[in-house]
Amino acid sequence: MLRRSQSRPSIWLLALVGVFACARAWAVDEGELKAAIIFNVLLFVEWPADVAPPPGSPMVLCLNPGAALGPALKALQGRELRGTRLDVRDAVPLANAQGCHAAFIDGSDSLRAASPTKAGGVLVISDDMPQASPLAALTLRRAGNRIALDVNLEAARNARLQLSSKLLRVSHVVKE
Amino acid sequence: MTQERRRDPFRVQTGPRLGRRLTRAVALGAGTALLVSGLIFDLFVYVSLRAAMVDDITVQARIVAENSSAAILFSDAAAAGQTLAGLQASPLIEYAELREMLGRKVATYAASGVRTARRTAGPTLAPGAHLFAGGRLYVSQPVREGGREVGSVHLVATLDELHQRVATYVATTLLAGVVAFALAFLLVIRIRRELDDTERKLDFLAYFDPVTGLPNRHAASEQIQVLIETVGRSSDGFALLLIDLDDFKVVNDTLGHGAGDELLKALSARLTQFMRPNDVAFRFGGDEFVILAPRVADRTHQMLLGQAAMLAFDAPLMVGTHELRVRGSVGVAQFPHDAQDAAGLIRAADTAMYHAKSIGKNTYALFDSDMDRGALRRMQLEADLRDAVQRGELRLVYQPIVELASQRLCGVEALIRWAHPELGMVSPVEFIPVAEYSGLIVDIGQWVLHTACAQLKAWSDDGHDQLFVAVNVSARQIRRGLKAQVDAALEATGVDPRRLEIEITEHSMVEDIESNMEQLRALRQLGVQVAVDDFGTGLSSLAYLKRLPIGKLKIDRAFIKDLPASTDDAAIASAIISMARSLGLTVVAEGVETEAQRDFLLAQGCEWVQGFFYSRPVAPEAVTVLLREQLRTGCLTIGPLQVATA
Repeated sequence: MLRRSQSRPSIWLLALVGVFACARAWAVDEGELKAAIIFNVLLFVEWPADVAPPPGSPMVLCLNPGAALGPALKALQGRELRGTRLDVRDAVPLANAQGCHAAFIDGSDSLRAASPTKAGGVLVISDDMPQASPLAALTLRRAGNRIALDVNLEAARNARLQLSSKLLRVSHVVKE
Repeated sequence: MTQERRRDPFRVQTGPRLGRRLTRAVALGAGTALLVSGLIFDLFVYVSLRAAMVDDITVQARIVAENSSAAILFSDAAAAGQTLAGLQASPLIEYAELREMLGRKVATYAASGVRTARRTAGPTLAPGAHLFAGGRLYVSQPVREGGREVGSVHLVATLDELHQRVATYVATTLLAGVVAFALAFLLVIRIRRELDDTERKLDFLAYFDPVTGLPNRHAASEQIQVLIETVGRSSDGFALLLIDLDDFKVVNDTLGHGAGDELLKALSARLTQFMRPNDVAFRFGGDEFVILAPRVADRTHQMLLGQAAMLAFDAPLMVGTHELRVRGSVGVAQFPHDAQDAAGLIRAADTAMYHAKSIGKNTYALFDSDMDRGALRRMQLEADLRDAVQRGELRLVYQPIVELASQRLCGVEALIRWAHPELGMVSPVEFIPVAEYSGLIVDIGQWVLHTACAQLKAWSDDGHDQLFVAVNVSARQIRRGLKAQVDAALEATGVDPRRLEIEITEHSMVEDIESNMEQLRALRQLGVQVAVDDFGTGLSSLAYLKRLPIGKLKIDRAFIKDLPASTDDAAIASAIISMARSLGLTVVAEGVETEAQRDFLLAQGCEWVQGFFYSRPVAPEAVTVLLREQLRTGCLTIGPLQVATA
């Protein structure tokens, strides 16, 4: 799939340009939009069986209490997701967070250089970082007036995560 | 050629009906079957193709839905458009649309060449539904992700191709139907031709007589109806001539049936030869012909027709190497004068024909109502004759037969009389033909045999044991087993068979000569005498005389009547007598009324005579008186017997 997508770079270039070409553009708050994207991304990720939320347990998204998207993400608290609900938690320090399925980091995260996912099984989504975190499998990025999604497949692999090919089709793969 | 022309006026009216019906049935049946089955097939194909198309487009919609959830969730129009672009591979899909949950279009796809007006997702459909409208198929499928509906895909496919394909099927079906129909029709045409031929043959058999080639009785009946319908419209009437051949059986019996058929054929060819072209001959029965003569009104005309019909019998006919002279009797009746319907007309002609026969055969007679009265009387006689035996109305009288040399009464001929309670004495000349015709002659003959034998027994017991009784039997009686009847009579009465004499006519002999001879031979073996009655009036064939097991000839009264003055009759009588003698037969002369006749016959060597000169037929008691007188005097009663007439 990937090989195929790379063999047609023009398509991906087009995809990237067009990614999140929301007609609404910035009519909604950028934070809310990013939060929605993060929520939707969770639909296309497969966790390894040992860390996947067991039936009845929520999907836990951890974030730095100081994160800029904190309020927007917390607004998604309790939303139904893949047959369970989303639990948005503050984790301090994020690196020690246990039971998180996903972690959101941004420039405000002092621990951004740390490696909170040594054990793997945590999807790290970064945003607004001066420098891409090697831990983040997904990175939100401004591209003009749109939000683009960069995928770091190596990070995802290290975290033992499977990213759906559907997600890859709407993303920009930055590192295989 | 002439023959053909003469048959022309009668045509078989019925056409080849079966063939036409078969063609119609096949055309209708096969045509309807092919059309209905073809249309059902096409309808089935159409429905199947539509269902297959719904399945196909739904599957494509699902594939698109499956691959476009991320694009919808992330509002990635480019990725969504890319997914939709894959639909190019499906030429049926004209338009496609991906929508978010709120209905906003994320991406659209339109096949190249599709008009702008058609670039629409059409009516709003619930996800998972489909709709045929305006020559298009609309399919909608939900887009789901993570168990949640996130949008919908709408496909619009053109039905043009499906319609074209179905049209092709219909055209192919019709073409195949037409070809199959044409083949079936060719086959039917062949069958029809055979059917028509067969039907024509059947019609020919139904309407024509195979022996003569003339139209038959059935055809005659139809033609009579046709002619009856013309009366009052285009004609004043028509005539029916019924022709019956005289003594045709003789030809059949002597020359064989093949010759008989040849004769009929030869005769039929000339039956209407002397008549008008429109007069048509039909073979009505064995030796009966009918000629239908249209537009005949008056009796003069009918007479001319009768004469013309008789002309056919003038010239002899060649049958094989034989030259035969056929005679016939013709009865003419006219419609509507002589009858009111076809059956009545035939009956009238039949009556006239019998009248012609009764006045001497080989002539014609026009019907008149007197004849009908005669026919009515015959019918009454027939009805009454059935009971005459039981009611004791029949009795026998006996005419003495005298031996010329001794002038003794040696035998008697039993003759029948009928005392009808209303009509009085009915002549045997009148009622015997009725009895013959109706078959009553068999019962009456049996009664005669019994009564005569019983009388003979009585005379024998009275001492007249040399007396013989001659009994006349008819041809029909012989056919029905004369031997058995004679046996029964002999057994019942116990008379000496040698005292019984059976008299047969030449006519009755020749009808079935082989079987008759067998019967007579058996009788001869019993000792019963056999005599040929009315000798000289029939065929008088010497060949017969030689073959027949007979001992006696009876010269017909016609040859005796003018004796001895008529030299012709004298020559015939003496010739018969000398011929009989040389064949070892004895001769009885009938109708002897004068002494001169008696003397002439005596001189010629005739052994026996009977006639008024000696005695009329008398009651048995009168014979008894004579016999007793003869016995008492020891001598014979010479000269005319003076007894009361019966």
